Amino acid sequence: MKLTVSPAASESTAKRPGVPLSADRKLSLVLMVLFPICTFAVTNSFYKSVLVLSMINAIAAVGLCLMLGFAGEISIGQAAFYGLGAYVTAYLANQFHIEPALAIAAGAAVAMTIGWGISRPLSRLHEHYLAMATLAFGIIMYIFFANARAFTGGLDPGASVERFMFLGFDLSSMERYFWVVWVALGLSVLVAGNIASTQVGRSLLAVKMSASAAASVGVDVVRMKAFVFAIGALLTGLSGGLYAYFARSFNAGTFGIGYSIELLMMVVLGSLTRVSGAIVGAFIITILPVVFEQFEDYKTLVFGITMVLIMKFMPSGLVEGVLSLGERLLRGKRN
Amino acid sequence: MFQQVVISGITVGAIYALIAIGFTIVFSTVRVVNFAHGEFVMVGGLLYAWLTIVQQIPLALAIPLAIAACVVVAWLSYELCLAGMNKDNHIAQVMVTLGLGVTIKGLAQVFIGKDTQFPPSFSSGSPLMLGSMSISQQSIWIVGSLAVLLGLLWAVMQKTRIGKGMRAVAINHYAAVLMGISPKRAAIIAFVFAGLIGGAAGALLSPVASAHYDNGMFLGIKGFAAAILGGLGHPIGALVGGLILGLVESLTAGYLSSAYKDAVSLVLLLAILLFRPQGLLGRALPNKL
Amino acid sequence: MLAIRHVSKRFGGLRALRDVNIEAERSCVTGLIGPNGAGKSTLMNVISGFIGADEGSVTVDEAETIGLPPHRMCASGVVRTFQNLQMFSDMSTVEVVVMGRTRHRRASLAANLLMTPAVRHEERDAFLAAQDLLVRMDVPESFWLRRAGDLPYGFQRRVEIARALATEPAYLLLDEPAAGLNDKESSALGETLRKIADGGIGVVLIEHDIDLVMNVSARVFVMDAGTVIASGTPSEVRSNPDVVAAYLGEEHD
Repeated sequence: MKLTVSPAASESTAKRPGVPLSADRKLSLVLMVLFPICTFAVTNSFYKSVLVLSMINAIAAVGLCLMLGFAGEISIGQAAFYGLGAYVTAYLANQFHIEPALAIAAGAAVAMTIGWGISRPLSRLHEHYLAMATLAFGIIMYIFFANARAFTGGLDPGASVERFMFLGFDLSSMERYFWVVWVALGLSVLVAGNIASTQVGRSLLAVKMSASAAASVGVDVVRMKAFVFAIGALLTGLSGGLYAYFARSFNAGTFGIGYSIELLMMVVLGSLTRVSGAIVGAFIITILPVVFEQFEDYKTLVFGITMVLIMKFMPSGLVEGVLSLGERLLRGKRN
Repeated sequence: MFQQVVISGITVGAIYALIAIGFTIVFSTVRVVNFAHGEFVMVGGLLYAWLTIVQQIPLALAIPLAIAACVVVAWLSYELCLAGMNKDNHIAQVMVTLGLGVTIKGLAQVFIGKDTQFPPSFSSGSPLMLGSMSISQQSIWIVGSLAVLLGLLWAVMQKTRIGKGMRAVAINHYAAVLMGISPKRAAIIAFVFAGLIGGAAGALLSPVASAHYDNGMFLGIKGFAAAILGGLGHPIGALVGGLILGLVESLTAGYLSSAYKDAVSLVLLLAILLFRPQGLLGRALPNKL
Repeated sequence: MLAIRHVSKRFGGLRALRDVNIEAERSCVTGLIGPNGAGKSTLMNVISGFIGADEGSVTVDEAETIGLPPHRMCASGVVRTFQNLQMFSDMSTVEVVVMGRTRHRRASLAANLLMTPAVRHEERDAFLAAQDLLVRMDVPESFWLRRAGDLPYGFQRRVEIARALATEPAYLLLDEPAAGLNDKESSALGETLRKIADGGIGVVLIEHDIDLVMNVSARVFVMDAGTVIASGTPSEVRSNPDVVAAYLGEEHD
C-alpha cells in the first residue's frame, strides 16, 4: 500500500519516510536562519534590539498559538505569565544572585506551575466564560504586579536586573544576547514543532474540534487542556524572563491587558495552527511601531480593525488564510 | 463612615447594574458575551465629557447626543461585525468582539484624545443631607436613571410585540422564527438597547469617576462580573449582582485597601465563574466535558 | 459480554431510564430500537461514560465500569460513534483514524515533546494501522489526505467507524449510523457491521432504520419510555404485540 504525496499534503505526510519535515517546520527553520542574517545585515543597534525583542515575543506567541490555535483554549491573560516570568527571574537573580539562566528557567517553571494550576478549574468553562476568566486573571495579576511593590517595585521604581552572565561570560551586549534569545526561541520552536507533528498536537486539535469524540477514542481531555495551559504558560514565562534581561529595568506597565492583546494579534496575524505563523506574527507586530513612526498613536485602532477583519474573514489566521488560498489556486491549476 | 461607604457602594453598584443589563440582553438574544460592551460605556462617558467641555454644548443636549451616538456605535457593531458570523465558532466570536472593543477604543483615542476629562454633574447643587449622610446629586441621578431604565426595559419586554419577540428568541430561536420574529432583528434591538443603557451608564458615571478612552475594558469586566454574579440572562440578576459588587468594592476600598478593590471584585468574578456559573439567581447549566 | 444491569437515570423530574437491563455478546450485532425519547441515547451516554447513572451497573467482560470517564471507558474496550457525526473536520482523513490509536500509544508526553525515535516508530505504525482500516472500510485512497470535513457524508460516517475500530474495541456502540444514508449505503453499512462482528467485536446498533436492525441483529432490544419493553430475535420482536403498539405501529402511521 503506497501513499502518494500531493502538493496539498497535510501534516500527516511529515511522518512518512522520505518526507522528513512538514511545511510548517521548513518555514520555522527558514525563519530561524533569517534572524541571524537580519542581525548581521542591520548595523543600527536600535534595530538589532528590535529584532531581539521580536524573537522574545515570538516565544510567547508560540505558546499562545498552541493554546488558542491547537487546543482552542482562549486566553486574554497571557501577560500575567509574561510578568510572572520576568518578576520571578528578577527576584531570584537579585535576592539570591543565582545564575541568570537558572533564574529564567525558574521563572518559566513558576509560570508553568500557575498555568497548570488554573487550567484545571478554568478549562471546564464555555469559551466565552473562559475568555472572561482569563481576562480577569490577567487584570488581577496586573493589579498585583503594580501594587506588591516589595516584590515587584510596582509602577515606580519598577524592577531591574544585573547584566546577563552565563558561566562567567558577559553576554549582555545586544550582539551576544541575540544568540541567547535565538537559542531559546530555537528550542521553543523545536518543542512546539514536535508537539504539532505528533500525537500530542493531534490530540489538542481533536479536543478543539470535538471534545466528545476525542474522549470517546481515549483522549484524556482534562489532562490535555492542563498540558496546553502549562506549556503555554511555560513559554510565555520563559519569554518574560528573557525580557527581564533584555530590558534590564522594567515596570508593571509592561504586563497589562495591552500585552495580552498584542500576543493575540501576533497569533491571529500569523496562523492559528502553524508554529511558524506565530513567529511571523510576532515579528510583524514588534517591528510595526519601528517602521511607521506615527504608529504608536494609531496602534490601538489599527490592531482592532485588523483583528475584526481577520477573525471575520479568515478565522484561521491571516498568513494561514493567504497560504491556503494560494494552495487552493495552485491545486486548481494542476487539476 | 459606614453609611457613606454604603451610599457610594449603591451608586457604583447602580452603574454596574446598568452595564450588566447590556451584557444580559445581548447574551440572551445573540448568545455572545460582548467584549466590546465596556467600550460602549466608555464612549457614552467620553462623548458626554467632550461635548460639554470641549464643544461647550448644554447638558440637556449633550446627554441625549452622547447616548444616541452610543446607540449608533452599538448598532454598527452588530451590523458590521457580528451579523452573519458562524454561531458555532465561539473563539472567532470572542476575538471579533474583542477586536471591536479595541477598535472603538482606538477611535476614541484618535478622534477625542488621551486626556482624562472631568465633565460636570447633571445638576449642580448641594448634596442632599439625610441625617449625617450626604448624598451627591449625581448619585440621585444615577439611582433614579437605573429605576427609570429598568422600568422602561420591563415595559418594552412585557408589553410590546418587539419585546415579546425578543423573549421568544432568547428562549428558542426556532420557535421565534415560526412566530415570525427574525433573530437578526431581535439581535439588532438587543444591541440598540445595550448601547442605550451602556451609553447612559457611561454619561452618568463620568462626572463621578472622570472619563478616559482606556476605561472601557475595566468597566466592561466589572459589568460582566455583576451580570454573572446575578446570573447572565436575568435583568433582575443584573440589578442584584451590580449592587452586591458595588457594595463589596466600596467596603473593600473603605476598610481594607483601595489598591486591591478591583482585584477583590475580579476574584469574586472568578469564584462565581468556577463555582456557580449560572449566578446567584440562575438555574444550573449543562456542564461542558 | 457487555452487561447493563438495573440502570436508572433521572433528569430532574424526568425518569429517562428505568431499571434498564441489556446484554450484548461479542461476535454478533445487538440491535436497540425504540421511538424518539425512549432513552436510547441516554443509555448510550451512560454506557460510554458521558453521563453518570443514578443506579445500576455496566460491566465489560465481567469488569465493572460504571462511573468511569469516557477516555477510561475506551481503555476498557468500549467505543462509540455519535448520532450527529463528531468528525475532526480540519484533520486529514487518515489522521482522524490515527486518533483512534490513542489508547495504544505507549510513548510518554515527554518522549513526544522530544520526538524520540520510539515516537517516530509509533507514529508510523499508527498511520499504517489507520490506512489498513480505511481500506477495510472502503474509503478510497484519494480521500486519505483530504480534509475529513470535505468528504461526502457517507464516507465521513465510514471514517468515524474506522476511527472507532482503530481503538481495537471489544464492543462498538453505534448511535444511528445509518442516519442520512440512502438505501444502497445503508445496506452496505449492514454488510460492514456483520463483517465487524465476525471479527469478534460485539456491535451494539442503535438505529431508526428498523429494516437494517432486523437484518443484521442476532438479538434486538426494544425500549420505550425509559425502559426495555421487549427483547429477543428479530422475528420474536416483530411479532411482540407490545412492540407493535409502542413502536412499529406508530412508525407505520
